[in-house]
Amino acid sequence: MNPLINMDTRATSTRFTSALGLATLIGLGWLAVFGLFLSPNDRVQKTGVRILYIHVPSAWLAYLAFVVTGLASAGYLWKRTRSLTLDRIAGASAEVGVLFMGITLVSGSLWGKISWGTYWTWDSRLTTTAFLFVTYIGYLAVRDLGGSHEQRARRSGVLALLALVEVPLVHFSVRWWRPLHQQESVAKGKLSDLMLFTLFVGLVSFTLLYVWLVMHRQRVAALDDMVDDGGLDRALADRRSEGMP
Amino acid sequence: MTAMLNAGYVIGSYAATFGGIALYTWHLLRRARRAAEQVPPQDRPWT
Repeated sequence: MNPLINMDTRATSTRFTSALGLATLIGLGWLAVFGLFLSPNDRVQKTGVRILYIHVPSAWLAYLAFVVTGLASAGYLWKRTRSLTLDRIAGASAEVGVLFMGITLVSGSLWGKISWGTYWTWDSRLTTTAFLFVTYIGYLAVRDLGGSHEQRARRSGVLALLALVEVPLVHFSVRWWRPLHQQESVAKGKLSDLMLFTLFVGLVSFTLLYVWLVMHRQRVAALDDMVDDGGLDRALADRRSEGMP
Repeated sequence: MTAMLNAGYVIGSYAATFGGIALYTWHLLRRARRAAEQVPPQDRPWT
């Protein structure tokens, strides 16, 4: 059974998310076929270039996820737009961003083994990326510290805005410190048409996946909050009934 | 020999990526089902 369109997902799914899930699966299938079989080897990187079709889109999506977390947090902290839905979107986007950042680090390590002969080196791009990854794991831990939903939203909102500063630091690290990590290949037109198309398939399918995951994750968070509120209401009712003569 | 080894890294990166996504998706949907059991469908804004 297809896990993305399984009827069991109806807990948090709608017709739209089911269609989106199907489109995501088709996109990921295309990515695997083009990335592994149909795209050509690179003149310099040989077969190692195939890793970049997942590495680059996952890095871009991690950036996007953390920017969405920052914007949603700013939206919550601004009184006019304050809504717990924004806080839940921020948390959901951060969690999915950590997933994409993890994929970026693992695929980057394997690419590094092929290209540099080592899984890891403490150059500026890799170090700042690892730091960003750890920062957002910390952000997720802070969200789970307890307290009311509003307390959670306030403290994690402030942290998200502080953490957002790291995103441009990671992105521009290859220009500022000239590390071992290569600079942007896409903008400099170093890829053939089929390579660019495969990268585009990766970017589109990962974007669809991101939207699908965030929608489900924020609905799970909404359900969790409803369960918490229900539990609190029951506890208060029990307490009142105990106090009654 | 090097080409075979590099192919292993490429396949490994795709396996780790798709495996990681599948594992997270499975975890998310299981969590959704468990949470939804405690909330009636009419209370879910998206239904």
